[in-house]
Amino acid sequence: MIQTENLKKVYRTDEVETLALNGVHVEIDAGEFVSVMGPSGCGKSTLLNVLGLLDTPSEGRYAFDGQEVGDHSERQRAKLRKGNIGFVFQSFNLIDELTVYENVELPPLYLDIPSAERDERVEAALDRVQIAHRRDHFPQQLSGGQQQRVAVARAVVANPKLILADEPTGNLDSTNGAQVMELLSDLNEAGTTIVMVTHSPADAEYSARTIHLFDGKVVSENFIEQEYAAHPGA
Amino acid sequence: MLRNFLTVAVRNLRRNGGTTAINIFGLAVSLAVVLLVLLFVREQWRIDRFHSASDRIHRVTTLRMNDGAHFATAPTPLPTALRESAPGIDAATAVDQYGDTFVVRGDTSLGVEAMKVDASFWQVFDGFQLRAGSRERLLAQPHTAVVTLEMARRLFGTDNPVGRTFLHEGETEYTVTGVLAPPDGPTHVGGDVFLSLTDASSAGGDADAWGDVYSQWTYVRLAEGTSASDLEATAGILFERGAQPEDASDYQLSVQSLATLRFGPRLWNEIAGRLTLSGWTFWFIGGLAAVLLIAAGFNYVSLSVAQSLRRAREVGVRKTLGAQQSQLVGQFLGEAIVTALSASVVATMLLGGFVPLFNNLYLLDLLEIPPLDLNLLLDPAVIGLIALTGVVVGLLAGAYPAFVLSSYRPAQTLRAQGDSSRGGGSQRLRSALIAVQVAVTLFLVVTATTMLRQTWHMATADHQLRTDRVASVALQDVPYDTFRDAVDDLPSVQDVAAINNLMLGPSSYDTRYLRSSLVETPIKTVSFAVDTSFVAHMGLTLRASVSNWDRAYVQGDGVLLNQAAVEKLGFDSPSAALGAEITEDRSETSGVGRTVVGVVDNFEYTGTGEVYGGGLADPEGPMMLYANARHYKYALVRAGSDDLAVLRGDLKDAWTERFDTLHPFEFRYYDDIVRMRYGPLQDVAYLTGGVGLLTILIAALGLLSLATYQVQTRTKEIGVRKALGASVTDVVVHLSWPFAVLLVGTALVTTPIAWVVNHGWLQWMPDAVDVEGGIVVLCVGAVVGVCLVTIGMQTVRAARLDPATTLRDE
Ligand SMILES: Nc1ncnc2c1ncn2[C@@H]1O[C@H](COP(=O)(O)OP(=O)(O)OP(=O)(O)O)[C@@H](O)[C@H]1O
Ligand SMILES: [Mg+2]
Repeated sequence: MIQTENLKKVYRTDEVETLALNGVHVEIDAGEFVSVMGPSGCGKSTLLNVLGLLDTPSEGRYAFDGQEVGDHSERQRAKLRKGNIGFVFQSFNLIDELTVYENVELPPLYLDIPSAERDERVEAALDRVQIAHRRDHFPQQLSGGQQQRVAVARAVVANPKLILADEPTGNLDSTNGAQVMELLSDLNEAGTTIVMVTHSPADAEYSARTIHLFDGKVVSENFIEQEYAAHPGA
Repeated sequence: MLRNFLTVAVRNLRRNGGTTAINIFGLAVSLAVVLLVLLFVREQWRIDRFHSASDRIHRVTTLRMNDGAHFATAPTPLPTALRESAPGIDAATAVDQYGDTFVVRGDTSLGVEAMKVDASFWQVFDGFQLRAGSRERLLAQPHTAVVTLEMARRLFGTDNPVGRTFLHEGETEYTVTGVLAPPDGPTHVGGDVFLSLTDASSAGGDADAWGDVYSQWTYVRLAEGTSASDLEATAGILFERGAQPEDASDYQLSVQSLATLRFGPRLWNEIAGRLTLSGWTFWFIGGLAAVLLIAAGFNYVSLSVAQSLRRAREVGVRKTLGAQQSQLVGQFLGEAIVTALSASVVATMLLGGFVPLFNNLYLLDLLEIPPLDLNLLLDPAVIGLIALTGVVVGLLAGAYPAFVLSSYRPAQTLRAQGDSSRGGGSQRLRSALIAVQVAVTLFLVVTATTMLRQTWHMATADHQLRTDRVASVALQDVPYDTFRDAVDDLPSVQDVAAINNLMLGPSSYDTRYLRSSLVETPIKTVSFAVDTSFVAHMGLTLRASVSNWDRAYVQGDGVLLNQAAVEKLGFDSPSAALGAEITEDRSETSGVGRTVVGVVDNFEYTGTGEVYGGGLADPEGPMMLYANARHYKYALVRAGSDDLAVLRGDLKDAWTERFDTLHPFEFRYYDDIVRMRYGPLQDVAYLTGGVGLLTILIAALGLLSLATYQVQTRTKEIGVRKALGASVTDVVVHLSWPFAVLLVGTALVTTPIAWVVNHGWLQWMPDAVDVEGGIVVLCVGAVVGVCLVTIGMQTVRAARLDPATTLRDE
């Protein structure tokens, strides 16, 4: 599903150049659940943005679903993104002016799905995250956990092949966090590929594999078993 | 998708209630002015559109070669000649605007506006419909007439008017052969009464008649496929063939389409005051409306861009969810259009207030422009126009913000919340927009103030001519002596004097050429026929005179000169001119002798023409006063008290009882005549000033919401600063400083420009005031002050907030 080779991302500001990604190789197969961990500022979000086609790498190759996308235009990337990739953010990023229902309705709207089917899908997604009873509320009227569940519903409503989650539990308490993680692993079991950035080893346990980043580089790829071996009882 | 756009648009607009209100109100104010102008232009555009294929209707006009004067009239025999021998013409008609006159039936006498037209008129202007009578050979017979429905009612009541008669000016009998229905739109060839013009067709090809290029208007309906230049060529050939050789070389005919008639320059001899939106007027009011609209549009752009920080996140989210840039452009444009359409609705309501103000303009009266009718707003075409304007304005105002907002990269905007660096780039744009608004406002306010000062100066200036408590009565056929003897003893009358053309008024003045033995060339001199009492009653200063000058003046060939004439004619002093014999040229070879019996000081008498261009007289130039009872057209009556209404009543009674039961009593306050000099300028000043005030309002609203927004996004910074020990004043100064620098900088740049421009146009005015430094500074101070107070209100409020509240907010 995802293959990158020597991905680099350079941010240039007036004074400094930051090498946020410094030659990243990753390979993620369809159906995998992968965590990305590493210290703050090591380039996790940058990697996720590049993988999610929200940002372009400065250098390197990236093939998404077998398709080379490194030199895609903004338009092409937007097209590819649509319906294929869903996002969940630490800060939810719901649109304040829209109700729960309308927020979740956006991806199918942009996909021009006819309204009857759209309605069905939105209802199903809302049911899945158990938030259907709040469908007419605005985001500010919900708790953080509820908001993140709406965000998950919105990420899955278009049945994407890939869900990218950037610290989805970062703003949640442990109960709400666990709920969201359950949702994600259910989705994975149903076949969706998931890449999740997290600082929490507990959350990382939901995934089958963890990629460790340090200073823009992959330093190790540990399968859950190895992780257990290194830190028994963690 | 559209529903989603609209929902978000409406909710967004509602959430930013204050900003939305400012945007809507600002746009509404300017849209109302724009709509007013559009309605006005539309009315102008509709003139004579109700005829079939009105683009084929043309007018032949005459250029006078020696001075380039362009006359709306054409040689008298031209229409007949065109009809008889020109190819490619469906119809050609001669029109003679008779103007204000009166008709009599039984013992009622009615003032009417009359046109004299020939039978082809109804083919050229075929949109006129008859309520009664037959189009067939309408007005082909001499002494037949067509009257409007309204006039028919007033003349004949409910009787069938066809076949009935009335007396034109109480003398000539006309038979009504048709009754005109109210036309389907404005027309420039309208009137209450159309009299048959049959002598023109008989004039045929007489060479002298071809030389008469000032009397009649020629309108032509071209056949399909004939162009205006074909007509111009044909008319030129006919004129050359028919006219005396010197006339043919003195004048050149040209052709004007109805379209240029509607918006084109006003020609000399224009047929009526109704064709009035000369290019200049159009550009002026259109320009003012555009300035306002741009100012309001700037607010929209500036506020939208300011909000882009918050909207950026929304854009990012939408893009990650699959929105294309084009969809987002659509969304933001949609918001702009919703705003602009809401503004149109408010604007339509405001229009209800603006239209009466506009209709009050003196200029409309003066130029005989019919007032705008508020019922126009019920016309579906007008409603469509308003909606269209709203959409267009929305597109224009929304285009830039839509493009900027929709181009945000999702990875950037989602990355950091509250990253204020994004506002930085647009900060310069917003400053520039504010600067332009403030500059325009300053310019308009300074200009309007200068115009008003000039107006007041002209309204109150001591013209030397004492026109206070004076009214003019048109003598018409009544001999002046008879009139004076009859009214002199009325208790309400103090003085009576006579004159041929009203000084300080809209009439053009006679000029004569005078010779003296002391100078070679004849001196062009403005001349007025006045009686002896004029000098004393109107307050002229008699600098020198022969003894019993009044007797010599009235009985003999005596004239009074002003000092300029005395100098031009070569006399050393006023007294040196006394008794001198001078000659007044009558033709190349002959003249009449005149004797100078007195000299008056130069005084201001120039009229509307001189003030607004086109007039020829110079108050400092030579002028002659002479007596000729047959030339007097007006009696100037000074009231004994300030109550001129009493005077009016007394004179009217005297008029109807003693002199004339036919001619309507024509009475005008001299103040109204003088008003024609400054009234139009006053209107221009009111318009400019009104728009200036509206732009201040718009600019201040824009500043208000920008300041509010800025303060909102910086509450945390303010809190931190205060927690670190900054005082309220420190914070206010810190927040207001950039605005203050911008405003003062703009003022420093704009003020000299406004000064120079105003100084410039004042040079064109006779008797001009000067741009007053103190007043300009006052205007600039006021505008900058309003803006600073606006900003201050917001910053002070924010600075007062308890830091604990602002910091806890996060
Ligand atoms: N738009 C940008 N402009 C400049 N530098 C950037 C930009 N985005 C990220 N960076 C830099 O790139 C590096 C990686 O940032 P990134 O957001 O990917 O870190 P992260 O691993 O997600 O950190 P965290 O765990 O704190 O979220 C950082 O040093 C950051 O400062
Ligand atoms: Mg991050």
